[in-house]
Amino acid sequence: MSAIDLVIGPQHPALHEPERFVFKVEGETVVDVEPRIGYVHRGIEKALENRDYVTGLYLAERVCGICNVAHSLCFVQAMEDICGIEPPERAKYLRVVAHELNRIHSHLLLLGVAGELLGFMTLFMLIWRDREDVMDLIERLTGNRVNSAFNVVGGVRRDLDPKLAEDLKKVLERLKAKVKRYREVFAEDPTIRARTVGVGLLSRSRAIDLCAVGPTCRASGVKADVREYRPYAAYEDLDFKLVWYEEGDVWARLMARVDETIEAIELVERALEKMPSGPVRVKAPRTIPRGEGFSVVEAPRGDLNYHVYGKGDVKPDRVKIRTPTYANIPAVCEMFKGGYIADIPATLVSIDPCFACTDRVTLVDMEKGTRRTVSVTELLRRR
Amino acid sequence: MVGLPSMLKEVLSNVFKRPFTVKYPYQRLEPPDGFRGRHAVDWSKCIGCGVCARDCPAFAIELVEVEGRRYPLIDLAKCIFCYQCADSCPRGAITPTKVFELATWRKEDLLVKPEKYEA
Repeated sequence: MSAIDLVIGPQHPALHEPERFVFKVEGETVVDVEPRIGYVHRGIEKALENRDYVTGLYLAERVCGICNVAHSLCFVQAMEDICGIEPPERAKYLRVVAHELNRIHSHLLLLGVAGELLGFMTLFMLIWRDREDVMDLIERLTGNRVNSAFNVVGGVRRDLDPKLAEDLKKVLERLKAKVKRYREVFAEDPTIRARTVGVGLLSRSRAIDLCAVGPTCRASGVKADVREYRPYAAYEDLDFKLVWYEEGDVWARLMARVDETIEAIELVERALEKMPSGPVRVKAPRTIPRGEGFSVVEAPRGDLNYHVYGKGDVKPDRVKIRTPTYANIPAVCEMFKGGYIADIPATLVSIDPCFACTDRVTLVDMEKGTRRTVSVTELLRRR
Repeated sequence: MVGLPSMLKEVLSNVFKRPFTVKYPYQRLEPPDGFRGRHAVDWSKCIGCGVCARDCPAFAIELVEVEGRRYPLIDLAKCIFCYQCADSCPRGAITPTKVFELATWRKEDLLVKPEKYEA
């Protein structure tokens, strides 16, 4: 039987963002897949070159709305790397709190969407209801539900008042019990297991070969988390526990996220407990000296890199961003192969795709139709 | 193995609960303290230095002349509510308010303008 092309996207009900996948199918089985990214390219890297560091920070934050704290944190860490500024201790803890709250809401969002795509609307409604509590906390901490504008070069913009710290503990305690309940549901519910166990397999060796990042690689048994191997902010003192699964299927990737949500809640609790007092911000220069700064943070979807070249001006010479979904695209293409057409949405959602982030950089050669991935090691080598 | 779906209990208990959402225009939720809404500018504090206009990432602030002095004119239609302007202001003249319902019929309503300013 010869393979036929099944085109999904750029506009398709199963995709939440415009992206095109051409699946080669034989009967019900996907034999090959050709992704075409670049539909939401916004030219942010170029735009960052024409803005000073102060306003560029807000643009960097808008690369991805969901993981905006990760983006701004990574950008300011790269700038602090060039200037040699050390943020105050309290600011580092506050960054962890904002970053982990961001992770909790991002993971809950994905788990809800996964529930919806698997046809489990109840789970979607309940998880999104509980996510709203986290959004309220983020709003109280940073002043806005989504775009936080919390991190600045040299610290954070707002301090945490004791009343909010109390409420954070109370709400997160309640949320933890609920997420533990959802963990049971994800682990045992026959509907979810039937749709996810053994679907979209990615073996450990392939995950390493294809440079998969974040929960996608951790669910395939690769123990790689930036918070562990290259701790930033206050993670070194927070006794972080890495979450990993061996199965490498959709189920494991969802379970890794549920467990990470619980771990994130515990990290916030530990950070609030250990948080020292003191200033939250040191004065930072407007002009960043000539030099290179590099930063990696663990965004909710995997490791996010910022590489900033300063030219001794208020504007950067070049900002290079590598987002996690971009690194996961080769891995997700591997997962589709050998699966059924009906499993495509479940497989795609399991990497928590964020295509608007991805499309900031596109290394697609339209004429040849080839793609090239830049790995972290390659970035480091060019330094 | 086919049994009762384990979430049935939650589903049934939610049938008898009040909805989680509120009937918005009739019942309002107050934004928290420190919410970044519409700007309030203390015009007597403003020295017309223009730092807010320089640092605005959305180019929403322009300086206008009123009675021989320069003042910022904030266009909320362009504003992204990051409050960098308040951060940069050397006199602390810009403060956030909790006003978030900014929908309007006329564009002029979206301007935070100095007293006695006429377009």
